[in-house]
Formats: sequence, structure tokens, C-alpha cells
Amino acid sequence: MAEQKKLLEVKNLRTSFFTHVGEVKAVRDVSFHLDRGEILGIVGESGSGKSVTCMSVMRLLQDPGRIIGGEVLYEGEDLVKKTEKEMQKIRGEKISMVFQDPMTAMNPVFTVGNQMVELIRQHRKMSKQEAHDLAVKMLGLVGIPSPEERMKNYPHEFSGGMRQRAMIAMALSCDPDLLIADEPTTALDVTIQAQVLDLMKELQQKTGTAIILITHDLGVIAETCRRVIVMYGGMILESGTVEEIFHQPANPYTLGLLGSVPNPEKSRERLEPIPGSPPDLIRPPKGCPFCYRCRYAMNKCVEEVPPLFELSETHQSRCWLLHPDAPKVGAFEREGR
Amino acid sequence: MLKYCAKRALSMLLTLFLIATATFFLMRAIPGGPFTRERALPPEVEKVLMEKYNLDAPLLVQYKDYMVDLLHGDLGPSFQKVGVRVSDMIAAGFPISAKVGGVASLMIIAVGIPLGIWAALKKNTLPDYVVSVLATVGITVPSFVIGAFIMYVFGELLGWIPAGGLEDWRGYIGPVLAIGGFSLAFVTRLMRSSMLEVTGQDYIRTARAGGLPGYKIVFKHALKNALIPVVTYIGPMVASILTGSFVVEKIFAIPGMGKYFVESITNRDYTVIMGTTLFFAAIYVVMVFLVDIAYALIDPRIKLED
Repeated sequence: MAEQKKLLEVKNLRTSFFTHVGEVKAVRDVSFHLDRGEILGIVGESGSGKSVTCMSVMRLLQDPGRIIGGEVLYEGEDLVKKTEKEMQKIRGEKISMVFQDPMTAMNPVFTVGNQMVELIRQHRKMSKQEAHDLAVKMLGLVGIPSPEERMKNYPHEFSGGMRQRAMIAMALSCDPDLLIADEPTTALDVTIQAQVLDLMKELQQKTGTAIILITHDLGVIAETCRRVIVMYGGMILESGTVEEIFHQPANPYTLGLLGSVPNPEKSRERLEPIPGSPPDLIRPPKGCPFCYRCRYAMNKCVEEVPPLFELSETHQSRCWLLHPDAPKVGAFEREGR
Repeated sequence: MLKYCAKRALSMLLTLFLIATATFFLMRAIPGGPFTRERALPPEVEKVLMEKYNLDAPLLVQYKDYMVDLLHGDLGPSFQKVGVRVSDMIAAGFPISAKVGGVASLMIIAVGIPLGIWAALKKNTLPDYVVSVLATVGITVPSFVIGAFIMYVFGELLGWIPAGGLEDWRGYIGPVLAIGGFSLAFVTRLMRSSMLEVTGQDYIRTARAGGLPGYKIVFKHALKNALIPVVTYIGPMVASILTGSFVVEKIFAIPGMGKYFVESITNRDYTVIMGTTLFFAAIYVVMVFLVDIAYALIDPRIKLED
């Protein structure tokens, strides 16, 4: 029963980019799962490996990027072992993707309708007219006014928010089981951001599509997701439900992220940035990826990667401070637990 | 669309007028004249010639007279070839140059574009390296070297192609390769780099994420975008290739119009300089106009109306 609920299960995924200066270990041993109809958030700063993780799931990595280990089980089948041909049947039909910048994500020299119809007919045995009607219906569903006329428009004739809506319509047109949204609202105005997020939530409830939402915006996560994964340096540092991550964070990095979010109630206080910069993934630290920026770092942290400690059935954190023998850090305890 | 074409036609005429004016005065600024010889002509003879060809009038009057004739479609007589009109020279030479140039242009488009795409798809593999090396050779080796090489190896040593002239199709091989070699190499490289740039674009990633097969991504989504810079180059290129090349026509003994560009200047054959320059300029502006139309057909973001 539990097996059937799981739509996607990523096990020990490792992805590297083999550049001329060396192997960039972008994703190091990442495991997570996603239930049917669930919205999972992945947060992390630039270079944390969140996008590469999802590109690996879709098998969209381009040279010199390669999956070097692990499994991506989609309905129990390992996508890593699939051929390119088999993946083409899965992409767009079972799993689709929405990208960050709607301005560049659509081909400028074809109409929106042309691109939607092409995608639909790639996966569905439909006549041009049927595909056209479905595309019109989808555009209407995402709230684009007079969709029939809009089909004839080129992407540059759409506004940014409308383009992202059209991208979502296109991504959902073949009724996929999973939608991966890679920073779908980052390039949009704040008001449009909220509209697009609401739209995604609404469609998720209507269609039951599971969503992986990648973002660096904790506010977006809090608003949309049920569970969150916090990534850093190519690893999962903490994962849990939204309540657990926001109210009982158990990782110094998560604490740092939360501390750097503006809080309107304490608007006069300075934001607290996390000092330092992300680790060099060509020569990643031997220990915890966050150790050089962590204010609680111990010798152990530099030497050995901490395991994921189970804090509850849903909550896990990768930090040596959670080890039973670890010293009790007052500040960490107070802030966190 | 019609209004746009009318506007463009007007601006093309203006361009040609400016080119005619600039060429006229620049050409007259060169020392010497059509009747300057190593051994000077007797003054009486020169005077008669100058009068006959209206060269004794003040420069501005000559300019006015030439422009009036030009407006009537009269390019004047050649100063060097007695009794031959400039329009006759172009009418005789251009079809021959254009035939060779037309075949060369077709070859460049039909070979250069697919080769560039192929090299881009096989990036950093053997085919890509071979194409890149050949393209670099094509760009760096001048046409007279290519021409002489082909003539010597395939004409002289192997006897596969005739030593000159355009009697049968084999006669075209040498001149077409010599005149088109540079542009073929250039188009190949341009197509390759343009294709590589386009395949890195977000919309290509979108197409892949939508599960489209590789050939649709390459030949539909990437190609149409990648063609834009290539079309820009091909327009003016065709103009220059159609009007022939002095060197190539000399090597392969082709009676085209390429030689007039050079000979007319050394001879100070004023009317021929004007005629060939304006003829080339006219073809050039028409090609640029065609490129602009092609742009609008390829890229909907470009509107012709303004």
C-alpha cells in the first residue's frame, strides 16, 4: 500500500559535471520520495544542486553532465536505465517541467498554439483540430482571456505572467502525473508571482498532479508545499513538513536561511546573512558541506559527513549536533527546538 | 506590405543616387584620365577626344549630364572600347558571371548549411574537427590559390576538367569552387556556431522537456532560429558572387564581367567604372531588401511596417 502511494523515489542520486577543470560533484547522494498528488518543495541557494537534481530526474542533463550513480524510480521503474527514446515518451506526458524564465522558455519563432499543439500531438493520437481544441481549453483553464485568439499569438505578444501561465498550460496539457516547476515565479513580479502560485495550487487540486517546486524563496514554500527538502552543496541537509522546517528547524543551515528572510513584524532589525559562500564542488569539503560557514562547527563536522538523523517520521536532519554524544549548544537549542 | 515595399524602393533609389554621386567625384579625384598614355597624345588629338566625350566641360556640368543620362537609363559609351556601350558590356558579361555565381551560391547554400548543422550536432567529435579544419582552410586560402590549384591538379595533371571556358558542366567545377570557396567555408562556420548557440537556448530545453524527438528539435525549433545570422550573410554574398570575380574569371578564361571592375579603374574608363559600380550596388541593395523580407518571414518579432 505504501509502495503504491509513492509516485517518485530518488535513491542515492549522484550527478557530476565533467569539466576541463575537474569533476563538479553537483548532486551527492540525494534521496527523497514524492507521493501521488503531493506538493514537495526543494529550497537552497544557487548551486545547491536543486535544479540539477530535477534535470537528472528528467534525464535532461547535457554534456558534460552525467548521472553517475543512484536510482530514479518512477512508479517503480528506474528512469536512469531508460533509453532516450523511452524517456521521450515520459517527458511531457508523465512528467513535465516549467522553467524559471518564461521570456526565453518558448520558441520565439512559432506561435504559442503551434507549440502547444505540437506537444499534445507528440503524446496523444489526436487530429490537429482536437489538439487545437484541447490547447484552447488548457489556456482557458490557466486563466488566459480569449484563448482562441491567443493561440495565434507569438510568445513575444504575451506578458511575462501570461507566458508562464501558457507554459503551465502546455506542461499540463497531456495530464502528467508529475510537474516539476523550477523556480517558476522567480522571474515574475510579486503580484504575478502570487497569481501563478495560486494557479498552480488550484490546478494541483483539480487535476491531482504531484508537483516538485524548486525555489530559493522560503515564502513560496510556506505558501504552497506540504513537505520541504533543504539542499546545500549537492546534499539534502534537512527535510520535513512545512511545520517542522519552519517551527522546529534542526539544522544550522535551515536556521540561517530562516534568519535571512525579511520579517515584517521585526522590520527594523537587520537581516542576518549567512557569512561565507557555498563550497567548491570540484573539491567539496570532506565533512559536512556547510561546516566552513556554520557557527556551531566542530572538528567532527570537518572530518566526516553527518548522517541524516531521524527526528520524527517525516523530519530528518544532517547535523552532528543531533548525535546523542554531541555537546548541547544552547543557542542552537533555543533557536531551533 | 505594399506600402513598405514602395518605401523601400524609394530608399533604394536614394542609396543608388548617393553611391553614384560619391563614385563620380571619387573617381574623378584620381589623377590621370582615360586618354593618359605613357607617350602623351598630341594636344590637338586630346582636345578633340575630350570634346567628343564631353570631358572638357566643368566637372559639375559633367556630373549633371551624366546623371540626366543615367535617369534615362543610358550608361554612356566606353572610353576605351570604341563604339561599345557600357550597357552592352554588362549585358554580355553579366549572364556568364551570373551563371557561375548562381551555381556557386546554390552550392554554398546546399552544402554549407547542412555541413554546419552536422558539425554542430557532432560537436567535438571527428566530423566536427574535419569540417572545422576544412572551413578554416577555405577561409584563409585566397581564391586565386584555390583556382590555380584546381586548375593545375584537376585540369593539367588529371585532365578531369577542361583548361578553361564553360563548354560543359565540368567547366563549372573549377570556377564555382574558386569563387565560392571562401563563402562556403564562412557559411559552414557561421551555421555551426549559430546552431550551437541556439541549442543552448531555454526554448530548446523546453522542447526536450516536452518529450519532442531529436529531429524535430533540430530541424524545427533550432534551425529556424539558427538561420537568421546565416541569411544576413548570404544576401550580400550572393550579390558579390553573381557579379563575378576578376581573378577567378582570368584563371578559368571566363568572359564574365568580373574583369571590368578592375580594368575600368586602371584604364580610368569613367563610364565603365560608374556602370559596373552602380550595377553591383543595385544588385546589392536588392539583396539586402530580400534579406529583410526573409527576416520578417523567419522571425515574427520583426515587423516590416515600420
